[in-house]
Amino acid sequence: MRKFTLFFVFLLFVGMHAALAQMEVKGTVTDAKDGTPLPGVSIVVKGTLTGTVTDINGKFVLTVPAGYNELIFSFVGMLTREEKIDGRAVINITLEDDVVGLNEVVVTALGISREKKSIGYAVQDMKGEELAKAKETNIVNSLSGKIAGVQITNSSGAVGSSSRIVIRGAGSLGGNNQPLFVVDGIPINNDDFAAGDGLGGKGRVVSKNNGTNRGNGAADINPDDIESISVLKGPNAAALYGSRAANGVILITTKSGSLSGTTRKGLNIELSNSTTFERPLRLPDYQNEYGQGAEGVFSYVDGAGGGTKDGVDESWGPKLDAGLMLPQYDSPIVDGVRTATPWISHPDNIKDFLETGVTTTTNLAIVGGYTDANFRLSYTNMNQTGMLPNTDYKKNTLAFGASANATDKLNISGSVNYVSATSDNLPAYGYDAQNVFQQFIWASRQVNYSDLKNYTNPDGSKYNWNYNYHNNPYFTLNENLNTLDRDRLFGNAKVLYKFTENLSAFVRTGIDNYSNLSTERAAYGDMDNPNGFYDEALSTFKEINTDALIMFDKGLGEYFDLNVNLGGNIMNQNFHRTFGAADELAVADVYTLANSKVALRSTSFFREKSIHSLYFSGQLGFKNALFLEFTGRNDWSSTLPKESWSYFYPSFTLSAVITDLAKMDNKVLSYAKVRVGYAVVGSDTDPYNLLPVLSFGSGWNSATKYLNQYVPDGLPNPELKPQKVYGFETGAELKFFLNRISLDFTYYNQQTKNQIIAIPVSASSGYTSKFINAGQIDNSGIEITLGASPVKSDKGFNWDIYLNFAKNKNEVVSLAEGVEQYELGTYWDLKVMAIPGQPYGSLYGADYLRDPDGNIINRNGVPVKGDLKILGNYQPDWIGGINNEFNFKGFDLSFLIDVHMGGDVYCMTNAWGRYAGAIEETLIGREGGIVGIGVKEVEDADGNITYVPNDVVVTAEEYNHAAFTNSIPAGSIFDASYVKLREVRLGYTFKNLGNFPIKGINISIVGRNLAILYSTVPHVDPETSFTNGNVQGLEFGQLPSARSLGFNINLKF
Amino acid sequence: MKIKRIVGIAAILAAFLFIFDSCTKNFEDINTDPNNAGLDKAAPDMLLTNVIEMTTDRVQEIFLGEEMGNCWVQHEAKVQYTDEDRYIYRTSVVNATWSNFYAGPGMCVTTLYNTAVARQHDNYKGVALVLKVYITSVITDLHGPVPYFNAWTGALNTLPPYDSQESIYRDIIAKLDTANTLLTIDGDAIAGDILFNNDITKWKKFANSLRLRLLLRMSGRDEAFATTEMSKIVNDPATYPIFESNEDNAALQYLGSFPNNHPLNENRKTRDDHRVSKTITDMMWALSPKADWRIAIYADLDDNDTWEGMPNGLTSSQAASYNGNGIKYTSKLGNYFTAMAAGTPMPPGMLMSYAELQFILAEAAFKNYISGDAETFYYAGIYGSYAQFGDALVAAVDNAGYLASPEWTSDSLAADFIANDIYGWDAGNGMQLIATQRWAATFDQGLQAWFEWRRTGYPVLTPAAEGMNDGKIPVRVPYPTDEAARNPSSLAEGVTLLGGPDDLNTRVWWDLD
Repeated sequence: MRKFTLFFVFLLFVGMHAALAQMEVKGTVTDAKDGTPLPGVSIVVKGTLTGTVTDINGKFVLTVPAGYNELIFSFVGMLTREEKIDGRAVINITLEDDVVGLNEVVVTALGISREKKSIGYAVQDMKGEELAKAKETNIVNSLSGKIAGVQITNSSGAVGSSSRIVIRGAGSLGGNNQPLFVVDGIPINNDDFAAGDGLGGKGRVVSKNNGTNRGNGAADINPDDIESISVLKGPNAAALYGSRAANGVILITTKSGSLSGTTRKGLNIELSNSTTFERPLRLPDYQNEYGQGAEGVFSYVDGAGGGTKDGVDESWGPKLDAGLMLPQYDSPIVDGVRTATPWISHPDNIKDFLETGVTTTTNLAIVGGYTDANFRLSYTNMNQTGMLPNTDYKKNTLAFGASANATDKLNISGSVNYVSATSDNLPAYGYDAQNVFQQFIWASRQVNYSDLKNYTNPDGSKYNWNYNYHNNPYFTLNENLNTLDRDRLFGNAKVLYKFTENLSAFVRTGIDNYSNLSTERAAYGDMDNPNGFYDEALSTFKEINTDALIMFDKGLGEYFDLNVNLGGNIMNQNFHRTFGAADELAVADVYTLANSKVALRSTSFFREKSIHSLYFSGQLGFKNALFLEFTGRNDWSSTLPKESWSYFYPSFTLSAVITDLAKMDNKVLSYAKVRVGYAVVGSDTDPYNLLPVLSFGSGWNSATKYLNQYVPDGLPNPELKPQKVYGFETGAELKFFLNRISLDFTYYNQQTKNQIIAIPVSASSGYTSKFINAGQIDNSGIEITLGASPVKSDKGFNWDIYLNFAKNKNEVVSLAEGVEQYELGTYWDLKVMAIPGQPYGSLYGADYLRDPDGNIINRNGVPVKGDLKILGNYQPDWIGGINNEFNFKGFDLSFLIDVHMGGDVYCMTNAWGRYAGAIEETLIGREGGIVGIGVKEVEDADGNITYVPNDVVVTAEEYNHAAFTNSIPAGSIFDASYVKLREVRLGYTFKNLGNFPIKGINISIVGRNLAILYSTVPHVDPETSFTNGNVQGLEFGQLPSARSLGFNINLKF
Repeated sequence: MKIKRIVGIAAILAAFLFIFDSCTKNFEDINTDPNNAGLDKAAPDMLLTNVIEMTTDRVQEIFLGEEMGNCWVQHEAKVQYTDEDRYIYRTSVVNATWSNFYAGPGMCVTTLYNTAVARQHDNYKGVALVLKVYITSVITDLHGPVPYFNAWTGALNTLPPYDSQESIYRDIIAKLDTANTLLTIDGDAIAGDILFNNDITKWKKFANSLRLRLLLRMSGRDEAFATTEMSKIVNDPATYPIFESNEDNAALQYLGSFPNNHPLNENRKTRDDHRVSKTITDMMWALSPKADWRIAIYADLDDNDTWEGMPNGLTSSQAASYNGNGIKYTSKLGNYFTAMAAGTPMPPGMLMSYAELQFILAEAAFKNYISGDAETFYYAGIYGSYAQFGDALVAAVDNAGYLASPEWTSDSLAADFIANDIYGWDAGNGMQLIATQRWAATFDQGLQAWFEWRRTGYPVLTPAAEGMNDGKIPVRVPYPTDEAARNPSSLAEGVTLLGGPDDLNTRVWWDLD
């Protein structure tokens, strides 16, 4: 670090020689079309960092250093103009619309802005205003349906839950398949915030099957502070970010005081509020004709099996609303006898239990733009209450960014974001007594859940409808809390020095640092933890990236332009977690580790990693129309053995703007560009995968505590090598009729080889898995985006359509020698697997037993378990989106349709709902029984078996119990295709407010996730998951996704 | 200017090169796992604690020990979720059993042995051998041929071949002889021994008692070998000490709280899926002309204040409705075993008991493998079993209201039981008596009881009412599906060695029809 300090000092000294002779220039910038003044136009003295922006009346004043004679005027959507000063003190100038949009600027790797036409790979952009229009609390969801080839899976309607994002399909067998998030040049951690010790154990942290979804790291990025998002889709785009960018990069630029087209000189204040209301998008289709019980009978005594089928939580009991009177959990007890009360249905019992979720987001931003400096200070308060009672999520974000030209050549900038995310209770998911929605899927249908609010009887015992399996749902939500308290800080500081017009350099250090405290508790009387439970996990994460980059840009002769960047990066990452659990509590209702009745369990875990890199990139331009770009990076990673910790990977792209090269001036084809590229990305592994160790167990806690040691199940490998991604892509951009229609087409082909995976091995070796380099996954596909402006009228009515489409073909080409399956996760008897010859993410489990013709074989009238096989796959065949925008005199209306076609989902709501007699389909055959579809076996005297149509009648209860048991998942796999109305917005912008202190007002009504327009999955939203990891395609009784409706107000002062 | 610029660039490059050069030097430090101990820090005492706890946990594990062992041998039956009781086993449990014996305690005990060899510590070597043999015997008795000679070699062989059960048995029996020789009472002390509190004499007794168990189990295949080896042990107690009382039992005294809790107690805190089998209650109480008083400790009184067992292998629905209400009107596993009533001490996690050894000796004497009187050993087994429960048994009989006088002891209860003609010694029916009483004495040691039942066929059991195994009680556990995915060619050889289909009904090598 000392070397860096010296370098800063060096930079400062070099910057001291700023010239003193100056002159002042002023003027007005107007729109060439109608002569109206243009506020917010950026004016820079060419060759310096000196500049300003025009005020509300389009006026500017600028001090020009001596020796400079040219100004650059630029404004979003207009052609940039360069104007010689030639001694003038007043310069009035007009700007023209950039109709063809050729000079569109995008942010690329390392945060360098580039003309889009010079880029040889697929990049798609989204402006911050887009995000602000229909706010999502999780930034990842905002991209859904808008960017070609980006697949978003929003896990559930639970507050604070995670979302998964994958670009161009999964490439890594066991590792991360999500893109790298980069904010202002600094990588941001997007891991799940998990709780627990990760080792399994008792209580609330049992396995991956259940737990609490605590969100993904990128969700800490505040949408209100985002200027723009660039999605760099392939490894071509990302070679310069190194390993983690192999899955693409989500490049986020935060708002600052400069650049923004609407920012005036001086102070600007913006205030916005968004308030939305959430209700479940889709609830299961329950039956309401039969209540709790089995074999058609029920009578309540103690709710634990003491009465007639009163321990059962299923709904195979007597018919409801038929005048029947039965003793029930809520029947009055008179003289010690539980009197019979009417046996009636409560069709809306689940709907009534759920509350309306409310999300409010308020942002206040102060932006200051001055001649040589600018800043932005922003505060955002997000407050969410969930659809489940007593669940919430709160986030407060303070962001500050500033930039100043210390001299003509020296610019110093930085930004800092502080995020505080807290929750008093997050809901649980999965097969867990803590997931109240699990209870609603078993759901004894006649129970009036919202009637259970008082969960404590006068004598202190618990009041519930059942005492065998479930907690009172209000008890779970009010007592068994999962809390969250996270502080996060990320930001960067950057010093940029411009040696000459052609040569500049910067040094930038960025940090991402959080501490995350998660606690879980169960109160006395909990089903799984009668004596209560408490655990807490404190995680701290810190990543520091320091980059130094030298940039050289020079024209070579008349035709050529050369641009070379040379840089280095040092990345250090630390993670630490301490976990403690009190498996039983000594005193009720006190949740601290010290209150443990039994020996405290605790663990701590450290992880550290360092990567050093040197990299370069160069671009050679010919006539500003033909571009050759090349990059190279060498990483040194601490996680690999010495022989292979240094690895190099290159990329190149070639792009040609044919319309410029051929000097075409065609009214039909306004712009045509073709591009081709190839890239390699190397990557490392996690720390500590090389050498064998002995772990510490929880010990033997007798009077003298014995510690214990054990051999971990995973076998390390001291000969690991870096894994590699090889990516090829080619594409074309075409614009027709003066930009009225634009088309972007990309084809790509990627191989991920030599993967570092913990391959399962025979446990008889002493280990259950072993780290090796093996396996290959291929992804190839196309991405198409189409934009059109069907109507563009002089009267101000505009209609724009954006279409995107992406089809990815994914194949697991090989695993390790002799390994036929790689398991990503097991959920009951369904496995999610990588199987060679199949796309990644096979849903694997037992089918029904079938005859040679494929008919289901019924034995004793019911289907039975057959062979294990691939039942489906979670990856969609293609995804797409259609966005329509209408503008008319201040009004704007937009709607977004999101399409996922193909792929499968395992629906546990269907399996449990069928088994338990809770859902509509279980009404079939309630009276008179069911003859299962399929055949039965007939054995002749010689023992030969033939198949005849099944004619055995069984009760609906017997049939559903057999056909929808957990051990035969085949009956609950469905085509996950869907079409959703993702977003609708109607807004109005008040303009020309005159002397009113408020300069701009925009109001809008917004709806998100409004309707499922098409789906064949019964009962649930097919877009579902419960982590943002690689195990997807599972619905497991999560809280249904939310339909959100509300309004936005934006005020500018 | 130009020179300044070049100096600037050079300075940056120099700084970078310096940093790169100096920083990769730390890489090996950075990548050294601070959370765990290196192999050089292996601590035999800490490994030993873990091996004992993990092995006992596995044997007592609910899905294996209780649902497959106890239910299949009809010590217990299920009242809810009756799948296992109907021989519908879970593949995930079989996979977990394999992993959790081989990769958990199996690998730890291998590491313990290797560490002991490196440190020339004979007593740790001996203890490690005894435990490794115990683990190996359970795995092979479950499945038949399994990887053994090339198992536990880590990176050297992740596709270990399967070995015949005969070769495994001959080796592990020899290993126990080695262990007895290695274990030296005046030798280097051991620590971390939560089974025998570092008492080497007890380890020697366990080694030899276990050797007798395994010799008897294979005796049908090589009677001459069994005769020689068993006699050698029994005739030289100075060299080959064996269990002499319940004090010597290989039983882990659990501590009663997670994670050092007895798996049964932990399970009963949230589950209530098991009942005592009707086979037990019929034999010991309902159909017996004279009470076998152990019923009082094996079974709790049901809501009708009687000992009523649950028939094995009903459907869940039948079980729930059994006797009016299966949950209420059948007996739970006795409180001695579940320790659910406040103040009850934790039950031991039994690996091998004195009573079992007496029945081993009784059978060996009965078959003339050893000299000695089968009748004496037989009665010693019954008395030993009653004594194992001691005062708790007397209290349980008293609580149920059947204690004739306050002076009764477990010995007098045993005498009262033996007075029954049915269970009095009868050489003409010796094998059935010995096997049946061993079955009764090893209650809740489901795996070992089931292994012995497979070998002897006694007591005669009626298969599960709604069993799903062609009307048969399983005599084997199929290989884990994980092996089919991870070690397929070795598995295929294993099935060939097995000599029959890989299902529940193929008998293992020692299990003669």
